[in-house]
Order: sequence, then C-alpha cells, then structure tokens
Amino acid sequence: MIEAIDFLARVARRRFSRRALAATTGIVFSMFLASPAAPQNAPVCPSAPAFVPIGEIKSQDGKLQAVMKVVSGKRNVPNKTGPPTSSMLRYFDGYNPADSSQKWPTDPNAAGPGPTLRAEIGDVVNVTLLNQVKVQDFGGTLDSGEEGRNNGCDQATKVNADGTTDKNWYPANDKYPNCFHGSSSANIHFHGTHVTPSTTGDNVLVNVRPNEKVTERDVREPFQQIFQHCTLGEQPQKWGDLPQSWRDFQETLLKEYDTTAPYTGPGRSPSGHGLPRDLQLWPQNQQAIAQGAWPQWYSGSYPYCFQLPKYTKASDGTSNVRMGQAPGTQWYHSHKHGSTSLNLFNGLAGAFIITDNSPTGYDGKLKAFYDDKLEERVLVFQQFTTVNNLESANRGGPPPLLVNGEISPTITMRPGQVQLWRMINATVQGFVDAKFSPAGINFRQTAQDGVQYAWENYSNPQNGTQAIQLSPANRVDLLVQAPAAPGCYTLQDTALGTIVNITVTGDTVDPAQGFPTQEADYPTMPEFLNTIDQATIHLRRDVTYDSRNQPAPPTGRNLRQFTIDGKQFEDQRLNQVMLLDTAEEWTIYNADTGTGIAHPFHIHVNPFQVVELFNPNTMTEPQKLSAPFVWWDTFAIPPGKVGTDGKVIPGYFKFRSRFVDFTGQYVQHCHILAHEDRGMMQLLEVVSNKTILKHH
Amino acid sequence: MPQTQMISIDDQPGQTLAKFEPQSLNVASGDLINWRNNTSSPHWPAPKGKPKDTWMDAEIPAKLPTQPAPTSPQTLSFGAVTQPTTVEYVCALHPEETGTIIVT
Repeated sequence: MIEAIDFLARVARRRFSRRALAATTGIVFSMFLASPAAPQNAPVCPSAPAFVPIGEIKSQDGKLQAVMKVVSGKRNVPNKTGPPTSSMLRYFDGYNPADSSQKWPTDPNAAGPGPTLRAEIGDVVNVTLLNQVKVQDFGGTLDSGEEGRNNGCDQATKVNADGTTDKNWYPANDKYPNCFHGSSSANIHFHGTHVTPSTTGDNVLVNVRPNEKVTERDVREPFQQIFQHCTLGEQPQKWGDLPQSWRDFQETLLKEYDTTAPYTGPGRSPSGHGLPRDLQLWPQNQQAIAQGAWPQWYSGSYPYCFQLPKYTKASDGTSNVRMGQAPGTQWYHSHKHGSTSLNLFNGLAGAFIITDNSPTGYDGKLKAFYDDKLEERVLVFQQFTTVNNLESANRGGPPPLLVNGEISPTITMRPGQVQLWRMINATVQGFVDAKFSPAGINFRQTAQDGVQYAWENYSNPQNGTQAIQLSPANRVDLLVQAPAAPGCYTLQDTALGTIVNITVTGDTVDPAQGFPTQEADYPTMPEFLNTIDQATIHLRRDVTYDSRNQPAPPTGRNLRQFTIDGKQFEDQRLNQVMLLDTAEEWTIYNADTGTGIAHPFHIHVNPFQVVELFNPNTMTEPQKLSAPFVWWDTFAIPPGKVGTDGKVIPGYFKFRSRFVDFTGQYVQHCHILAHEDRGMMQLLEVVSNKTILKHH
Repeated sequence: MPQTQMISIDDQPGQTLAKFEPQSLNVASGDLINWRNNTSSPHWPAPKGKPKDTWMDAEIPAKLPTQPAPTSPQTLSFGAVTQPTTVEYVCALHPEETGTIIVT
C-alpha cells in the first residue's frame, strides 16, 4: 500500500520525471520558443487577490538582527472554493529589535510565510528564537516519549462506523524517532547558507521546547553578550562559553519541565506529571556537557549567530575561506525531526535573501544594469494543512498552492518592464512545473538554489524556453519581462493550476528594459563557484534512496518505510564522514520503484554541482553534463524503473562538492519532509585532518 | 481538507462537574479531534456504554496551576463513518460529564 502522504509527490513525479530534469540543468534546454507579440484586445484580467509583498527584516551596519517568535493562533487559510478556513497554526512572528517598523506579519490572521530576512554577504546574523507555541492548542505536541506512550510517536485512533476502533491507526509500524512527533518543538534551518552547522550556526540538531512564558526581555542581556562575541568572530564552542545567567535560566526551565510535563506511562506519579529519570531532558544535557558536546535541549529560547562568510583573496593568492556564502535566494524553515513536515504545513518558513551589492556582485551588477530600477518580487510557495495525512483516517485532496499566502495572486507589471522574481518552493511535497501562458512573457533564469548561473548558462540561447521547475526546497531566480502591450498572463502549472496572475497595465516602462546580453553587464561568477575539477576529487561514494514494505505488523497498517542505503535515520549513527577541505563526487541513486517518487535530495551547508544524470524512464544512456555546471542544494533524483528482467534500474545523478571551512555534524535527507520525518535522512560529519597511524 | 479540532474540558463556576466545550462538535470524517484539560482533575473521554480505553489508552492528566493544559494522549479520526452519525461520549472518570460529536 502507498501512503496517503505520498499522493502529491506521486502525481508530481509523473510530470516532473518526464522532463528528466534536463531543462533546468542550464545545459540541455528544450526547443527555442519565439515570443510572439502580446495579444490584441487583451481580455479583462480575472479577479484575483493582489500579490502580497512580505515584510522584510534587513541588516544594517553589517548586522542582521531579528527576533523570531514561533507562536500559535487562528489564521485564515484561503480555499479555492468558499471562505477561508480558520485554522490553528504555528507560525513565525518576527521583528527587528533595532527598527520596530520592520515587523511581519502585520496581520496575524492572514496565513503565509514568516518575515523575509535580508542580509549582505559578510554580515553577522543574530537571531533570537523564541518558542512561544501554546502546546494546549494542539494535540500530540510533545516529544521523545515524554508522555510515556508508544516511544514518543503521535498516536491516532480510527473510529469505525460500528464504533469499534483501531488505536494503532498511527503510528502503525512507524518507530521513534522516525515518526511524526514533537510538533511544538522548534529550531531554524537556514537553508542555503554556508556556515557552521555547530553550536549557534545552522544547527538543526538542537531542540527548543515551547515555553510561552519566556520573552525577549528575559534573554536580551545574555543574548547581546553572545551576539557581541559572534560579531568579533568568537562563536561559542562549548556550553561554558555562554553567559552564566542564560545557562542557569535553561537549567531552571528544563528542570521545571522535567518535573511537570504530563506523563502517563510506566512508573507514573499519581498526578500524571513528572518524567521518569531516563526521559528527563536536563540530565541528558548534563551528560552532553560533561562529554564536551553541545547540549540538545532548550526551553523557550535559542541564540542563532553566525557570519555569512565573504570570500576574499589576499595578494599572495590565499583566501580567507575556501567557499564563501553564495549571494542569492535562500530561505529558512523549522527542521525538527519528526515535525518538519507538519510545521511547514503550518507555514513555518520564510525567505532569506542574501545579497552581494559590490560592483561585480549578483545584486550590484543587476542593479547597475537596470539603473537601480529593477523591481524585485519574492514569491514563497506554500501549502497549508493542520493534519498529517497518515494520522487522518479519511484524507482530503491536496491543499491549494499559496503564493505569499494567497491563491493565484496578481502581480502587476508595466508594459516592457523587467522584474526579478525570486521563487522559493517552501511546500512540504509539492512539485512545481510551470510555464508562462499565454505566450508573451519573456524570461531568463539567473540563479538556481541561491547560486547564480555562470554567464555561459545564462546566455545559452535556450535559457528562456524551459519549463520552470521547482521540487520542494528549490529556488529559481528569473528576470521576467512583460510584453509591450497591456494584457493578462499567468504562470501556469499543469497540475496545481495558476500559480500567479500577471496583469500588464499602465505606461510602457521608460527607458526600455531588456536582459543583459553582454558578459560585462552580467554578475561575475565568484571564483569559489567555479567548476570543481575532477582531478581534485578526494573520494567517490554512492548513496541510495529507496523505500520498502516491511513484513505485516501484528495489528494495524503496514506503512511503507523510506530508507537511505537500506536504513532509516538513527540517533548518533554517523552515516557519512568527510574530510575537511576536500572535494568529493557522490552518485545519488533512486531505487524506489515501489513509489516511483523523484525524491529530492538535499544536503546542508555546502552546495553541489550536478555533473551527470540518468533517468531510465526517459533515457537510454546517462547524460554527462558540460562545465560550467549548475550549483544546486536540492535535486530531485530521477526515479528508477523495473527492467524487463524484473531487476530495478535505478535513476541517479552525480554531483561534486567541497566539504570546506566547517567541521561538524549535519544531515542530508529527502526534502519531501514527511519522508525526512519518517527516517529518510542521514547524519553526516565533516572532520579535520587527522594523523594516520602507520606501522612500518 | 481535514482539519484538527479541539474540545476543551473546563470547570463550571459553582459546580463540581466539568464541562466539555463545545458540548456538541461537528466534524468531518477525516478531521482529527483532541481534548484539552483545563481543570484540576484528570478526565478520560470514552464513547457512552463502551470501555474507557475504547478511544484512549490513558486519562488526560489534570492541569497543574502554572503549567499548560495537557491534551489527550490520542487523537481521534472517524475515518470510516460515511453518513451523518451522532456519537455520545462521557468522561469515564465522571460519567455525568457528557458531550456529543456529530460526524457529517
């Protein structure tokens, strides 16, 4: 049986895999499509909500300061038919503590993404995360078996028509930690950043418990101390580096939680509150601290601070870092294993725009070409629901695609105008495969996954003819040009329908705008994003994504389990270890013919260049791509197929990446986030050079 | 689209019995239903006339004075109910406390 949660992905896979991902590699484009003139007597544009620009929190004087609260409340989720659904959701409510005008959302009742964060490469990022979710607003919100049942998984009972029940409807055969759980816990993944995965960096292994009593004022002083050290390049390395006051505060809050959390399992107290010793959080932190590790558990608050590394080269040819932060369209989202999918279904995501406004940089060059008149749109694609499909005994259809909180909103352009569209697929499992319709809109792709196209790929004559494809987590930047005459247009997905309406109206843009056609007018590719030479490859490895049906359980459903290299995620088990400052080539296979899904592979911290791909459903031979290769951080693995001899022919892609600048542990996983929650994830570690002991 | 729904268990001024709020909840068959205990006593929702553990393995613990209200250990989904059905339930620990779920 195929799980309900995979419905969207299965449908999407059929469309997505047909095109074999070739169109978006920057190398192999479909036929050139000439753009006819705008239609005469353009029809009246359909009535649609206006496109909502998301409020921004911007860096100032080299520092991005944001207070990001995870809160809960009733929000209106638009429907395709009928009035919006009022849903209890967890969401990001953010503001700039140094500028109270920078705050989002301004209307907490409107569902949509969190604030857009905007910083320049080289800036220091200081984020105060506050988890103020009211756990009493949600069922199944605790974590880690702390209620003493079923090893910590959410539990759903199905009630049948005759009143009998199946109390193991969920988790069925899912096992902790690879099951839905802990949905009120929080952290933030800064997706697309090249920063340390440890301590206060892009650390998705920390787990911040909700505590609605903790406010910004409570942590302001110690966090200012932490942020100040970060600004000086002194990121905390161990627990003792943090201010004593906040360490004491955490100890107090976690001990309070340990003694008061609901617990009805074996050895319960008469009150039903208080955790047994082996489930308590503070002792686990104590153990980690004693081992010199960074503790996992926090209550109410967490300080994220890191610098977005700016690549600079000295006169002797050495650089300060091996890879810099790529300027581009990045994003952030919650990444708590077991609840990543539900929390993104709640909308816990937003854009993180990282700019390079230097004269040759991505933003500086484009601004100069358009004489500072390039209008920018940030489009965050989301799908909202409050229900994990596998927990519901009667699922509905897929949620509608929202763009900045609205269904098919209208973007207004002037005739001939060029806008920069930064598109982010922040859905849990929705694949976008779209074209502008009717003909008349011209476009050029300038970046993929927050890394600009090299000039050779941008100027490929087929750029502008390809379908616009985003698997979950992909980002695509487009220069979009309106036709010369007023009219109505759409960005149209064959399955999801109209993504946005485009109304071309008003006076023709003056002076005329076009696309850069000379290399001198196009952003210079940063040196650190040049092609990774095959000769530098230190190690090659294979990784296989798959799924399997397990033997039927004694009771309940048999849910298909998702695996990488035949296994599900396991706490503290390192699946891949890479040597710092080396380049590797990985072949990522998709042997999952059971579902046929094009699982989107994502790896944190370092982007990668795709050099080869093979989709056995559409190709007879692997396709070797040509340099300069496009950089990605998420790539839908072409699905496999069953050959005539009954054997699985896996699809695959091959990438090169550099594991540079940062040691530490992080993850690679499927970005269909319900698969990640249920185990399709691996723990990785980058380690420094070691002495290799050799006896003669 | 299925939705998640919450039933509160609240104290009633001047009375010893708690009350399910709303008293009657309309749900679709795929909706998830949870209970939240705002009172200082444990409660255990169960269908009227059926064993107390028909829906949930355990009671919902009492709320502690300074802590968030606990929610039900299991969430409920009337998945196979295909025609409008009224389900009466009680608190297995306080049988006078009753409520109704109408599956539409």
